[in-house]
Amino acid sequence: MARPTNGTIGVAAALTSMTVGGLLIYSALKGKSFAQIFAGDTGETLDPAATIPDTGAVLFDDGSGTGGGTVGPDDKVTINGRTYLRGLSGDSNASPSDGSGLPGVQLGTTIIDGHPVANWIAREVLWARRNGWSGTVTSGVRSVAEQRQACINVCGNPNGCPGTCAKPGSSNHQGILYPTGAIDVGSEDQARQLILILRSYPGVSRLRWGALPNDRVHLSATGR
Amino acid sequence: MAITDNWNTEAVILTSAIVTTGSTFGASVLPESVGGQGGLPHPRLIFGTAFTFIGLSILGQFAPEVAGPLALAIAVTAMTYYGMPLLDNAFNGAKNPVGRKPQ
Repeated sequence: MARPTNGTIGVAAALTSMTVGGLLIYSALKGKSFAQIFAGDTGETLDPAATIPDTGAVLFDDGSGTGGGTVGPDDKVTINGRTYLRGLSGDSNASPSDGSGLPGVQLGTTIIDGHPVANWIAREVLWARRNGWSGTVTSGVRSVAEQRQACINVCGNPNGCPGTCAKPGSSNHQGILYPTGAIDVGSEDQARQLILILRSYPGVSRLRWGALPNDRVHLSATGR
Repeated sequence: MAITDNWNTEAVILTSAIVTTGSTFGASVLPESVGGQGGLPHPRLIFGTAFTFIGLSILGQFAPEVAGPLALAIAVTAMTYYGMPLLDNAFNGAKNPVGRKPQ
């Protein structure tokens, strides 16, 4: 058997070094560990750093007048002087089985199809996409100004459109922490497909659809 | 005659390494107001770039006709990846992130 020449060894060393370098760069940019990359997990990464920590989110209110209902004080978190709910206690979605491995509080957003999406929703949408959902996200977190513009686009009224566009400042699109947060998808069929796929979501999917008869592309914790 | 016949491969690789590393650092340390990350690049980015160009340098000893253009392509890619959103921000008033924030 012929011994490898210096050239062969050199080329092999060069290719190895370049491969390691490429993996390191890819790993840094994608926020994935080598193990995740080799396992084929190359999708979007949830952003626990909360790049959009406060968008004027709607505070949770169950209608009891307490601003928090049965949720205890330990389940709240204050960011920039505003109080939000944490993710649900004993959150089944926080188990590593969904591939995200992000436990506890679900702050932050994840960019999906160019739109920032609340992480508790992003987790489910990305799981659905890995499991066959072929739709696209057309809107996620919106600022008050963006909500105003959205309403102008829908009905021409910047202060909201009954049944199709919530009043700026009160839309679930302006929240990022469960139960606030919402997305719009490309079509009613896409929304239906997403909900069907999420029936198999590990744990229980918290995304609901269909509560707004005139807004069939909208999904949120309540469907509103 | 190939375009690489008169190349000094070592100079091409070194220049490409400087351009790539410089643009990576530049995009990272830019203030967030102009799309940068406002801090040093992720260590994995730095080590990854270093490993890549060390490999290219070794390859340059044995296959300069491959290593040179490859290094140049990497440098051009880095310039485009960081430069295009930066130019868009500067001239069109866009608010693109320059590069992708390392997770």
